[in-house]
Amino acid sequence: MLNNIMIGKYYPIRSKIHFMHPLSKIICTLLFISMLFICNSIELNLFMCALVLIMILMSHIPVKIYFKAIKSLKFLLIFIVIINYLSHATLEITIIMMLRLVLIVLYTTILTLTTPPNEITYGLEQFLSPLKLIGVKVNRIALSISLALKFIPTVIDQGNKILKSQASRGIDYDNSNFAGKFMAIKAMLFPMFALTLKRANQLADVMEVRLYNISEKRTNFRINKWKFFDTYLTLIHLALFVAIIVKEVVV
Amino acid sequence: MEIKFENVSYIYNNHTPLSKQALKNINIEFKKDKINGILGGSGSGKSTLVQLINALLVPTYGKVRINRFINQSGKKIKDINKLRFDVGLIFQFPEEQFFNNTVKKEIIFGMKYFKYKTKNIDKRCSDALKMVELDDSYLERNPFSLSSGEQRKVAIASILAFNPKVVILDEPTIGLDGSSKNNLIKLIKMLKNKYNKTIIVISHDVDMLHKISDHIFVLDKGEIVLEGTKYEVFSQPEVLDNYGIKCPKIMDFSNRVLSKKGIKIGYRDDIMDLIKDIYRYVK
Amino acid sequence: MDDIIIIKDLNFKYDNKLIFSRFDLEIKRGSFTTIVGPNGSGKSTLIKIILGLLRVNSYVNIDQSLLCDDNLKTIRRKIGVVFENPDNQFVAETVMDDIAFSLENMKYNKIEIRKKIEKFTRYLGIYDLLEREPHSLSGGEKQLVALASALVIEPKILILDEALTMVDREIKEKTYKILQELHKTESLTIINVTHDLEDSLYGDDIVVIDQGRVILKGPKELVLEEEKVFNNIGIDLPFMASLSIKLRYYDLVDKIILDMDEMVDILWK
Repeated sequence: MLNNIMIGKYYPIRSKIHFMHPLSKIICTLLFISMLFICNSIELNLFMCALVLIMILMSHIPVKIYFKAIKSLKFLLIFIVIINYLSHATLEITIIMMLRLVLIVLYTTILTLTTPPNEITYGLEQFLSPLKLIGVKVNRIALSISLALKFIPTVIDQGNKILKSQASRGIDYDNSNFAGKFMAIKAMLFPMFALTLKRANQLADVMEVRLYNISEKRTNFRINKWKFFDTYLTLIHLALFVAIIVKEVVV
Repeated sequence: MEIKFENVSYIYNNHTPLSKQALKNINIEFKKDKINGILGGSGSGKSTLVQLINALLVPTYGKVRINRFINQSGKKIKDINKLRFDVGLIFQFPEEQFFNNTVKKEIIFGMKYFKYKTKNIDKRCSDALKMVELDDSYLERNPFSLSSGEQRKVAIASILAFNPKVVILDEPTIGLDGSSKNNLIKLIKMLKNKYNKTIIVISHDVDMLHKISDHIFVLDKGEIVLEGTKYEVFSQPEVLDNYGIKCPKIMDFSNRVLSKKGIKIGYRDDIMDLIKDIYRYVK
Repeated sequence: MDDIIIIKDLNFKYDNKLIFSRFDLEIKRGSFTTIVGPNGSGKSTLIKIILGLLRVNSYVNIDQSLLCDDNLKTIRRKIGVVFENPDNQFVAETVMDDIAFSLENMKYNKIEIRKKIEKFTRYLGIYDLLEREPHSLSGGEKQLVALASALVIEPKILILDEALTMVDREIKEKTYKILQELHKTESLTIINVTHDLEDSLYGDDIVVIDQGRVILKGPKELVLEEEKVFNNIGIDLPFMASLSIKLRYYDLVDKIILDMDEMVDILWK
């Protein structure tokens, strides 16, 4: 039931995308998402599709894994269709909305599949660092996001284990009516929450004892260096972004 | 209650690049009304094996007979609820699933909110507590305030409330200290002797399995490599060494006397009996 | 030999429950001590106090530094810890990054980090696991990685907090052999917290804690004589200790013998 959410699960292989500096990946992701919201025609969105496909291929990660990420969107997509139908929106708009959703999820999945959480933290910190000047606790925010990403697969694993052992106690999600399903979810969420909290506390203790200090500088042992490919890809995204703004907004 | 594995294999994520064969061609029959021990290192397939008995998993190949139920790929089990009534499976650290604020609610939760038709829920609850040697004073207590040994007993009671004929325990004594451990061992023996249940215990604690098992199955890398009574199994330390398994200390002693001095002092279950044998052979 | 850990008159309450009252403890530098006690005796709380995870107002001296907010960093640099559940200790996506974590926080440069990681992973036999994801390893491999992470900072004190309770006997014995070697060659002070008295056979000294008090302490050969004390707190004696005591009653041996082969040789000379 809970197997298919691929967010946050780092896929460790070697590819040009894996070797990129996390800051450039984050900048490209944000540029991409911004571009997507300005694209108001199906042709442009399909062009965005092509861009995403190229990046997926460059990541060398099996397409099956990306499929799993989209599969979990099916209910949302159906929801969009229904809402648009009820509000008499055109077919074009519906398709654009659906494409946007799929592309955003795909692109951010590329980011999380190719970048381990500690690199994402580092990239976010770097990206938001100008905000430090106005007193924003950048390090803290970046750490919270990165830990959340790290915990998602663990939490899902735990949820599955709990569901199984609840089934042995007669708490059976699959063979119940609506009220029963509700009770089964309650029986799963509470212990899952408690366990995750316990885990998080233990991990925080471990990090503290291992001398982690959120506000101090530390050696970042294996953060990828900013190389030519980073500049190259970032400039491409930037150029596309500017081109689309010119086309859609100015013209 | 017959539990028989016929040519059973299990492959996780079959037909995908992440596939992993957890069990290979298992052909065993668990002994009725006895305590069956399953021994093996991590990754040997122990948990997979027992999940096939209450149909939480379906075999990739082969079939598992559990009395009149057959767990086989492609065949859906009608009234699978009845199977879960008859075969109670208690996972590792069962107390991690608690979510109610009284012991009573925790035990009857499964019966109260789901389609299992059971009469006398209250009586079943008291009986279950009695089976784990806790009295009715525990009913209104908060499970989170109990000691780890008591918590484990309450978790076991919630499965016993269905009065299963077969009870499967996955690492029941893990994390418990001396007195709680001994207590639980006594409880498991009582489930067999007094309540005539068929018991299956998974553990990597050979000393504990030695104390309670009538029959032992040794799993290694998904295959049954050894089976027999505890004496038959633990009298082969060289074989067990290949699988990274040590003998229970009380039998290890007899094994060493035999291999170092050529004297066969026999196997004993109790340290006092062993002393008597040593006395006899030394004098 | 001086004391590397001194705790004097410790008083500590948690959740309105009195855990330690006028508690004293000394651990000698370079010793291998097993701290044993039933669940709820305060063992884990004690470790948290030593690590500064729980603040106390009492006298706690670690390697000649008084435990207080200003000294936490200095003290933590000298202590390596392995906790009970390896899954809750991993901070990174690969074994190599996990082991590097403490060194990064201590601001070693990249070359030094690489050298230290190689040294310790080769020593523990886990060099091939460097690029693996920690959660995908077997139970024993996980604990070895956690041990590497603790040893790589070259601590003066190594604390194992119920670290080997969930691990099977073969891996346990392998790990203890490594620890005994380290104890001898590096004069590492080792503190092993457990509720299983069999583990005390691998160390030298035993400290027994129950309900927040030290009720017994000393070399293992002497402490393991106290059958009654252990019975009262519900902890079983190790097999060899139990056997020795009973055989002595029948005049077949005259002292506690903890090594099985030695016992067999003595009985059948």
